[in-house]
Amino acid sequence: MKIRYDFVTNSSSTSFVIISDGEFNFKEFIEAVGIKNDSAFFDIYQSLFDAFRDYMEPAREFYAKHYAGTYSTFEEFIEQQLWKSGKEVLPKVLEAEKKGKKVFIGKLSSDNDEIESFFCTDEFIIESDKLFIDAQENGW
Amino acid sequence: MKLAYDFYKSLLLINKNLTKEIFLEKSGAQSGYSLNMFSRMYDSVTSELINVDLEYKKFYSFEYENIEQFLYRKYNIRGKYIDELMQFRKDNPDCILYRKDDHSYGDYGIPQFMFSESMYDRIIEILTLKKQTNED
Repeated sequence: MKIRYDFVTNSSSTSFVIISDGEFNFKEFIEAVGIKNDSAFFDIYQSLFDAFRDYMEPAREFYAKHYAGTYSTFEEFIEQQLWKSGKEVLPKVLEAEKKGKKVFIGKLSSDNDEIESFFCTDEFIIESDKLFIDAQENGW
Repeated sequence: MKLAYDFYKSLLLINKNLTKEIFLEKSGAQSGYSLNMFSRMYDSVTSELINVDLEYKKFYSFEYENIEQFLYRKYNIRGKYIDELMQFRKDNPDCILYRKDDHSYGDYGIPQFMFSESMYDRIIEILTLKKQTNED
């Protein structure tokens, strides 16, 4: 039997989708984020990039590995797992796949460090000509 | 400088010359998500600010002989923190003392993150325009 005492906190995780025209790389990520290279806050976006890179998996592999037992199709998984923006993201994902772009999915967690925790609980889109990141599904 | 008092309330020293444009320029956020994020930070920190200097002068100066007494008796700020606040202001004379409700902006995550250990010093440097003041 386990009884929790003192502060009780809940944790959160946020699914993200990355659509990249080519390899997901830091230069294009920073350009899309819009932060200057000499900004005193450059490092927090480096941390965000590192978190994306560490947790992302090719979308269909991610589905097959983690959610094939929950959702009967990949399309259903995208629409329902990304409960906030899945319906808008699905056509983008399918179109990107047709064009040979890379599509990744992963999760940020609030259990790691405070920088990742903030991004996990924030809702955002990062977008440029070559990159689209949707992290609006906030499970906080 | 930010000093928590009471329940989710803070005293803040912010440079009187700070504007949203200056805050964003000094953050280095120029477009996209970073600009959105730092815009929300500025909006959050300036939301429902109450100028404590004016509050004291207008409503409480007849009751308390100086602002230190006012902070001590009205807001129960400990003496050593009042000394720190006053010293900070002496070193940064362009700063105005404000108070605010930490969650007045409605977005809980932004204020929590901007004053987290990772961000605190860098944010305070912008809010007080400390480097600029020292160089001046």
